[in-house]
Amino acid sequence: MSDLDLLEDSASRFFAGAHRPAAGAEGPDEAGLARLWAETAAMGFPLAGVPEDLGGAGMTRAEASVLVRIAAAHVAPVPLAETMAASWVLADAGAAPPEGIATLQAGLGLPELALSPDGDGYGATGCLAEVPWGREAGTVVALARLGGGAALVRLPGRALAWTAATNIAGEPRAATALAGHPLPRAAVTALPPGYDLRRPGLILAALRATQLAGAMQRVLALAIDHANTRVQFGRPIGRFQAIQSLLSEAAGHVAAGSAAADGAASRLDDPDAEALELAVACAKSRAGEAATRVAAIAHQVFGAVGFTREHELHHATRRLWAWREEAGDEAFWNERLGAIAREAGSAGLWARLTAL
Amino acid sequence: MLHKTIRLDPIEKRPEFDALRREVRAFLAEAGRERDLGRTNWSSFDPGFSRLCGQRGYVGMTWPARYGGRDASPIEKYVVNEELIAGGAPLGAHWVADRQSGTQILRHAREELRADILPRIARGECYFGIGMSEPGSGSDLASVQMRARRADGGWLLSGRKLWTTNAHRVHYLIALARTSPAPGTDRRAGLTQFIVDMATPGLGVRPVHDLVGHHEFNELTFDDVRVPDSHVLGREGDGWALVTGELAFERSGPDRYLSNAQLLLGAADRLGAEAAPGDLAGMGRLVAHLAALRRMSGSVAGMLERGLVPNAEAALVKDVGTRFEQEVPETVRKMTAAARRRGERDERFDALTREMILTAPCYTIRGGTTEILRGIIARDLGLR
Repeated sequence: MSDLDLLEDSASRFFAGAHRPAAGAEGPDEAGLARLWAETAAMGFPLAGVPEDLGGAGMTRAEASVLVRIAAAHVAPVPLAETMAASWVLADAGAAPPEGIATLQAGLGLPELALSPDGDGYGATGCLAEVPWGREAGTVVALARLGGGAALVRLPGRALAWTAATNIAGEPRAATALAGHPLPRAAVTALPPGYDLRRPGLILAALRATQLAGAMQRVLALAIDHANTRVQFGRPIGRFQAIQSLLSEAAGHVAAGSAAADGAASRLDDPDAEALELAVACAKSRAGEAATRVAAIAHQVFGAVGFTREHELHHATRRLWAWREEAGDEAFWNERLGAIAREAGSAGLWARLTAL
Repeated sequence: MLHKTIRLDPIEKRPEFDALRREVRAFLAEAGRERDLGRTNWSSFDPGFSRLCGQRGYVGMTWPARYGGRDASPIEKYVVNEELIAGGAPLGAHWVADRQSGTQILRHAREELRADILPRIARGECYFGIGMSEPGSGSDLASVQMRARRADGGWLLSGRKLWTTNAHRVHYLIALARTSPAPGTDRRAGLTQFIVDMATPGLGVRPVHDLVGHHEFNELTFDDVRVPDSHVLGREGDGWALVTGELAFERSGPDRYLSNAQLLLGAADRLGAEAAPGDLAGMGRLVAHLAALRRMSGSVAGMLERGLVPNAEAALVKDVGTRFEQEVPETVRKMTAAARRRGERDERFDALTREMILTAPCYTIRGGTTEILRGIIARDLGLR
């Protein structure tokens, strides 16, 4: 077994055994989250992809993203992807990872925050919507406009006034509006020269695609298990060709969505933002489309019991529906890919795809 | 519980693969075959081009050098084939021999036959057809009726074969025939594969024109066609195991998602500044699917390199890949509809679109129907 296999193995065992809310519960309460996060941090997972000189384990981001897939495959209600993304963006700017839970607010357009000088520090102004785990995070990392450029800011998540909200999976996605919110100089980090401002949003999108791959894996496994054990008309329903065809189709989507997500993860350590964007666009589009079909097939196979809060299926399928929307839905990325194809032309498109 | 889903391993990137890609692109440019829009696709039959591929070492590349190969890895073969297909190279003459027949011969034929046939295939001079299907057999391959009975120093084959692509212009056929009655209910026993020289007396070839109007299919009649013992593949009665092994080679390659690569890539050149968001998204969606399929197919090539037998994985790639291929002309048709209504025509591209609409139904039938593939996938998923 390689080191990476060992890590996968221990992550699988950890998340399979970690405390999870019951089928009917939405998510852990504050104390439950604190406990689960402490256990996750004790395993070293949040810092896996952070360079050693910044206090991390020095794995590549591609390797560390495997942990995100595994956590999602066990629908672990912890902000591992968000904390990793926040610490990676800080690492891009040479800054050490924050303590505890962190999150990254990075859209796919211009930064939502603007900084203006305020005494010794800055004032931050702007609206942050659907911040994943924003209220729960000790640190919210966000891009902010500063002068003619941009910088990274670290906001104290628990000290801000939030409007609570959740995505359709029940995961916290709060909003806050800042009007000259005072920030000390130490909370603002300059970005390295030439830093591509798309990168934070692309990192988030790559990890959402990875989460989709993990959750699809779980949904398919649950559906196969159900098909093998649920008896109708005197035999397990998995013996009916109609069910076999549905589940084989789902397996194709899981494999394709996962392959595309792997492609994005493999570019997370690449300094070339264009290659990262192409791989992420393919991943988020393909995994999002796959998620739609995989969730639909699983619910069809489960029948009525899957359409309840008494069965655990909804934890995974609702996440599929939530995550396909976030960090750019299929339509957003497909349009972007179409524009890339138009710009590259036939020969250029093939050259770019084969360089991935 | 999570172990039950089919997960394809991530692909491996090595710098030599990129060099190989550049080499193939240069070869295509030299041969004047760069993105030859509309005139050919990989299944076009062109012996001249096949010999060029042979000279360049692109045929039988994974075979040992003593048989004319270059001991290349399955991933290198995948890279070369992907570039050739995407470039619109006409590979139809040597394709079956290279993809599956030659490998069957390498694994299961007697040494004298390997030494005789493989170097000729590798030179791009010797072509094969697939002799599996028969009238009435369809997807139920074990139902083949062709009989082989012992004769002095060999066998006499009688019966019919159908859907034999290029039978009228290939040199050999690998035919599946029943050499003994099925014992009890095991119809898979008693079958044997034979290498049949197409010039043997008693072999009749009737053209079957396909929906597009091309003559590629044929129906063959065997009237005591003599096959020497030296031309039996494997041992008598091993046919079923051999034929399933052969099918695995058929299913996971780039020919299963790039059948209309010319149309797909060419569509990028048809998107103008006025393209509607929905048309861009239609194109973009195909790009995302293609990117995923490339990784899936490359992953199976990696499994082959590691000596694995990825039958279910290959079935899965073909299922996903061929359904993608069928979506390509439909998407392109919608993408370009507005331009056509405006009277903007590109005769070559429009002709290619029409041809690909006509060709599309075959993708999910040839080499194993979607329904058969899903049975294979379902078994691997653990559905009982």
